Amino acid sequence: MPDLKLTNITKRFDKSVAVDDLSLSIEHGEFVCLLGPSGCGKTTTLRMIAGFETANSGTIELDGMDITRLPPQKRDIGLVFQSYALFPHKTAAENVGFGLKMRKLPRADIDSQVKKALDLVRLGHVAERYPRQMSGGQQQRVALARALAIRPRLLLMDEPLSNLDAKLRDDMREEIRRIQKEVGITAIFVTHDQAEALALADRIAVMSEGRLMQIADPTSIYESPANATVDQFIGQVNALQGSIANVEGHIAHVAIAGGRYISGLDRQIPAGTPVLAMVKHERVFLSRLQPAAGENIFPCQVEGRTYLGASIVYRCNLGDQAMTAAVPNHPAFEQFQPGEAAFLHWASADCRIFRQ
Amino acid sequence: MGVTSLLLLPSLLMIFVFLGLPLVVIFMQSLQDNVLLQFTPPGIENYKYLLTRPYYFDVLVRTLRLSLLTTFFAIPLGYLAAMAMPVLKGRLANMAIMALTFPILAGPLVVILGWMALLPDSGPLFGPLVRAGLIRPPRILGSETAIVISQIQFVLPFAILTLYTALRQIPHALYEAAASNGAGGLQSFLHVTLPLSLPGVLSTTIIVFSLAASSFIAPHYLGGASDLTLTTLITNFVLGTFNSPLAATSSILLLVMMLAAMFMFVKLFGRFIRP
Amino acid sequence: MKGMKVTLSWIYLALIYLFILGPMFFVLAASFNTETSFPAAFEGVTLRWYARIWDHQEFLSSAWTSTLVALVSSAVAVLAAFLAAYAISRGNKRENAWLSATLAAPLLVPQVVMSLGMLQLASLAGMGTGFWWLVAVHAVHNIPFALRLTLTGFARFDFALEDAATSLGAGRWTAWREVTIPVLQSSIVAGFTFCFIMSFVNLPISLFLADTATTTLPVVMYSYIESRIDPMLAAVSAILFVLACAITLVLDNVFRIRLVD
Ligand SMILES: Nc1ncnc2c1ncn2[C@@H]1O[C@H](COP(=O)(O)OP(=O)(O)OP(=O)(O)O)[C@@H](O)[C@H]1O
Ligand SMILES: [Mg+2]
Repeated sequence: MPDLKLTNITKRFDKSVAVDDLSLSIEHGEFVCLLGPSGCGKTTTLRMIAGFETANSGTIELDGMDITRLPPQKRDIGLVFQSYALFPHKTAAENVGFGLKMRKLPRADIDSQVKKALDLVRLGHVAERYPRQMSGGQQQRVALARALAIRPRLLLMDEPLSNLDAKLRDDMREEIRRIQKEVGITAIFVTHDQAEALALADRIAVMSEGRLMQIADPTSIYESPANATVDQFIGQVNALQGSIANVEGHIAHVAIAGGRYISGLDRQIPAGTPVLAMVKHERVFLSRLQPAAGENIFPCQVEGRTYLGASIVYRCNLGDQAMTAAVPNHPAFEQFQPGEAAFLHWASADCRIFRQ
Repeated sequence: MGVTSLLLLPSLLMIFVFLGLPLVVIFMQSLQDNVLLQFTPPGIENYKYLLTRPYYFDVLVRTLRLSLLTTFFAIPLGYLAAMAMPVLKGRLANMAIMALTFPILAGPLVVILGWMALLPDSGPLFGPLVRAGLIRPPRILGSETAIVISQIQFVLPFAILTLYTALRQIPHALYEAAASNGAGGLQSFLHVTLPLSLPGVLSTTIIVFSLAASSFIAPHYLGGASDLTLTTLITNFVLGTFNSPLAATSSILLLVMMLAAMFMFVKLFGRFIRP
Repeated sequence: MKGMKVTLSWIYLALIYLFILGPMFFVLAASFNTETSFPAAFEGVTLRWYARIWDHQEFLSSAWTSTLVALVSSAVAVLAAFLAAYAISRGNKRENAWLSATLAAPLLVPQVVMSLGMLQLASLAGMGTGFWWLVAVHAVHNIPFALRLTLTGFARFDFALEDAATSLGAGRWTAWREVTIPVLQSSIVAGFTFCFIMSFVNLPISLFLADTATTTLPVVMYSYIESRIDPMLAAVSAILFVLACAITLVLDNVFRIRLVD
């Protein structure tokens, strides 16, 4: 049975629709990332689950119980905020103990559970400090400990790492994952950082303009996105405009400008339909010599080169459309200079075709 | 959202009951007959009376004149002070801001007493000069000049505080941008500081004008017996001749004058304020 | 050039502060003057004017009345303003011109007019004015000040703190008691102090609405001045001035609470 189940949730503010007919179910112990561009409704979804916003329609179930109309303080859901929202006038220990105090636990129980929670995030030594006396990373972990101390049925985190610098963010990412596994809690983690989502999630739910685009494990999201929006949002992708020419087996041929044809995976789109053919940057190869055989081989001109350290990104022109190739910065791969002529090629299996 | 808005109720209710309702009562009273003027109420005889007697009309004009003069001096003086403020740093800046509240918090009576000590011809300001025969007794105390001087002093702290806040909100990067585009001090002032602070100047002007027009202690103590303003006139009607309807009429005239002035300020500045 | 500008700024500020604070220092000086008239040239130092205040019971009892009126009216004003500031800060951020105008009205309507209206309301209702009338008008008059100071506090307040408390099991009121009010404590104290002092020294409202049992200190000072001005009055004023300065400085230096921002 799923732990959390959203059914046809819709939320409108004034006239704008923040969340549009969203259905989602999450298994027990699962770590799900809500990923999407700014303003797509991630926070609103989370706030509805937490009970701070009421859905205009749809239901939310937790452990099989309908909590759609339950006030937030009765939901037993742990929350970690982007700003941490630590109580500035309370010490780390008092912050962590707040939820237990609200539950009217005896003093001794509170103390021992606070200690346990702080030890879990490895902060036993700062228990008596106030938030302003702690570093950003420490505050972050106190916020996590505070949310977990009430032994919530569900843990919700809204961009908890976005106020940390890059290095600390990577450490905290590992830390959050370790703790979530250790406690065995179901967790939803909101982010607009795809790398974070890919690294952390059991499953990623991609949202766009209030709608759920796709929910799947990171590999599927990256390698077989359900639509052009997801494909464009995850990773770096080339999008070529064209229309379906014909289909052979499970390969579709797409006519693009300049009388060229490219081939990709067929999705049963009738001939003549305008489509987008999508290839991720790192799946495009660039070579001086024309490859002996294969599909999607085109002569091109290298127009720009960006050095990124781990890879080198080349901008090439394919007729009047631009095509970008990300080549690993490794001696086994050829390097090019702007102005050089070269050949672009990619496998049909790496080229996905979506209706425009 | 709905529940949260209810929290506005106590304030709004208090303002409606203890300010709105009294204003309505004042308006009704101003249409009533009284010992001085007999007519069948409601009528506008009180207004006609106050506006056609030169003595009372002068009171209205004097109130307007004194308030406008006060505003006219206080705004530039305060603006310059707010601009100069940043030369003070750290604790001193902090102290300077706090010191502005001292006269406000000590209360108008204390401040007026100070002017009553300072301004007489024999006082510490003019006394030595008069005794040395350098000037003739200036007779400032008991004149409109004394009222304006003390009103400027009274409103200046408010003016400096609000203008300082307005000036501080202009992002510093804009000055750097102006300077990097070759704007000198004056140009940067004319193209950045002044336009961006205009909304602040407008609200300060409105506050300063209303403070001056409402001031009652300065004209009462520093003005001459004939230098009545609308506030002291109201007080005389209430505490002296017990003429409630005329006090009410003067109050409405004062409010109308203030509203008209505010409207004028908004029109005047509004033309230069870019949204 | 730059140095010149700085020097001019210093000189200008010195003159402005001299203008603003100067008159009060003459009151201070006069309160220590042995000369029995006011104003008078400075003759010598004495504390006898301060001692004489004790012979004037009406000053002491009216100071107590002022304290009571100020306490109650400031509490009411701050409570109302706090609730309004909460609604304004938490609710939709859109500027509402009517709302701001209404909430600023007590600042713009002359106190003399406000009090006259209440006086006429009372006589219309066939009642005498007194303590509660005074409190009501003082409170309304103070709402804009209290609102300004509490709004400044809310501008720095992270409402996620309340959500955090709620998600941890606190009800609305508990979240307020445990989180919102303690975190905003200094704005509340600042608002209360400011209102208290403004109410304590207020003359126009009290002049119209006080009855014989609720004469406040400024009203007593007013009627005293009507008959004579002497250095004892300067001593009373000096105490008010020094108290105002002291409260401001202590709040700032000891409690880090500012009455202005
Ligand atoms: N209280 C509100 N009132 C009106 N509109 C709102 C409110 N909260 C959110 N919205 C609107 O709903 C939409 C979704 O907002 P939401 O905060 O859920 O986005 P998000 O995905 O969390 O974005 P971000 O990544 O920037 O945090 C936005 O268009 C936003 O403007
Ligand atoms: Mg968000």
